[in-house]
Amino acid sequence: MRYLYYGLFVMGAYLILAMFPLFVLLVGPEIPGRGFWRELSVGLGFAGLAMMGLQFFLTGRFQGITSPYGIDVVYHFHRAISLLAFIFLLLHPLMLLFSAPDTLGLLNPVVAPGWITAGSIAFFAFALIVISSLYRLQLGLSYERWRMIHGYVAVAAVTLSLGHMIGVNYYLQGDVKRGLWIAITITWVMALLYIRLVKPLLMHRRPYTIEAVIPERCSSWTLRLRPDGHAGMAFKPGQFVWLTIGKSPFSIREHPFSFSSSAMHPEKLAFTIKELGDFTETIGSVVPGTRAYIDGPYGSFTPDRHPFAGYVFIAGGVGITPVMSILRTFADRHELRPLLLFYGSKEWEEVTFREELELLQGQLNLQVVHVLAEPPQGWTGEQGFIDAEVMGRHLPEKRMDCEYFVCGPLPMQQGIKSALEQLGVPTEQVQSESFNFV
Amino acid sequence: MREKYALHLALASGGLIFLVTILFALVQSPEILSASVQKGAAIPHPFVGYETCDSCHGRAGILPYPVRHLGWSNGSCEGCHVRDDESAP
Repeated sequence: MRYLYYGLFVMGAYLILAMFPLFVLLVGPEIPGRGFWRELSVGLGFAGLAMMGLQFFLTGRFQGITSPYGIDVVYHFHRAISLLAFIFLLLHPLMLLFSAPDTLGLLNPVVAPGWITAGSIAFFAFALIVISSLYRLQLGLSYERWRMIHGYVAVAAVTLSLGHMIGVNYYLQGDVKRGLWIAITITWVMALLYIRLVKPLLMHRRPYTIEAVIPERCSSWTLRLRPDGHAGMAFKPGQFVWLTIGKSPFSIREHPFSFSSSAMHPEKLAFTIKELGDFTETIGSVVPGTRAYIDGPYGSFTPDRHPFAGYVFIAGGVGITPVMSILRTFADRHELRPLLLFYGSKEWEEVTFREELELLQGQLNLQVVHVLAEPPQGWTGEQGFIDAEVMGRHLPEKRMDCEYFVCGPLPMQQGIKSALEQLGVPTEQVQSESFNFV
Repeated sequence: MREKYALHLALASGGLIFLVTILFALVQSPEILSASVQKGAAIPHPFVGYETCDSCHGRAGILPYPVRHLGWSNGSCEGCHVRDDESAP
């Protein structure tokens, strides 16, 4: 309930800040309107810019903003609201042209005043951000290059938009309005400074050393990190961080990874990473002793936030990583509640952590159900994929008393969710996490 | 599910902001609500021979028009400003 009220507060604050510029426009001496469509066009321009400026807060990973919703929801919200803000900004010139066709000539940068051209360039910069985000993979952009473009172009676009707004100077006459707009701009700049300077500086003061790089089954590696000169990082089992390896924390070359270690040992952190993309391909060649930096912890995929009588985990492939963190933590806490793990893998030899899971079954009230897509000869366990039938055979009768945690590839998550629905599990009792928001 | 939840939140927020923007436009365009058309001041001088409005009323002219008229051509002045018959030749 605490998270619900706090979430409402955060959403209310977002809406007030997004609409604040529109109220500011009406402060002070009355400014005559210029017809409904022209004023709507102007209003959409101001609202779109305010929404774009607030993106610095949404992507800044402020704990105060992410904690009630989870960072994945905040990032998905960022993506969706950016698209809406872009539509607002697109409607701004379109409606202006509709209400006053003579303004078409202003799109010619040779004759248009500089502040009009600034607005046009800002619009194309926002378009570049949207297109590069929606079609990053199709455009062949690496995550690092896309992030760099995204960050720098966003700052340029917002700055040019502010220049455009000041240049038009219709609604900003008067000290009060100018003062309020300066205050709004300062909050955006402060958010940006925090993200680009303060946060990396704080990370720089809390470095880690990679102690060991341990090969695991299925082309995965476990990185063990030791804090240098500090106590480490307190986290909840199932959470994740942004990890920077061998680079400065100012380099923004960081990637999200889930903890695989027990939350009871903040001084001994571990991350298990599967070789999947351009960065993770190199993870096995990381040399012990390399410096690392951590931004986090983030995420709401944790049983600590969802107290229930029992837990069911459904993991596919490397999706076992946060589940291992949860199970290791539960073992350290001498957890007594019933636990059930459905673990989908391609082959028996690829089952990461299978030996440790065997041991954990002895320490915890845990049942592990391996489901193999390509089982070896003589396999008597479950085979194929984790579906309603497989789960129905093993779920306890009081399945409604359990909370469900699903982690794995996106198609698997979608399949599991519909299977759980078929089994009568309420959707609000199903937690999932994927990193498709980056 | 969480992606859908975020999408619904964004649509609700965007919709609310859009509604407030419409309200702003209505506040600034009371003629829409009163259904009356706002007209500019009548042209208080002869029109023939003075068709190129911005030679006097451009931003650099002797009687410059307000900044909100910037970018409008001479052809659009008569959309709001009507000729004063008494001043006409």
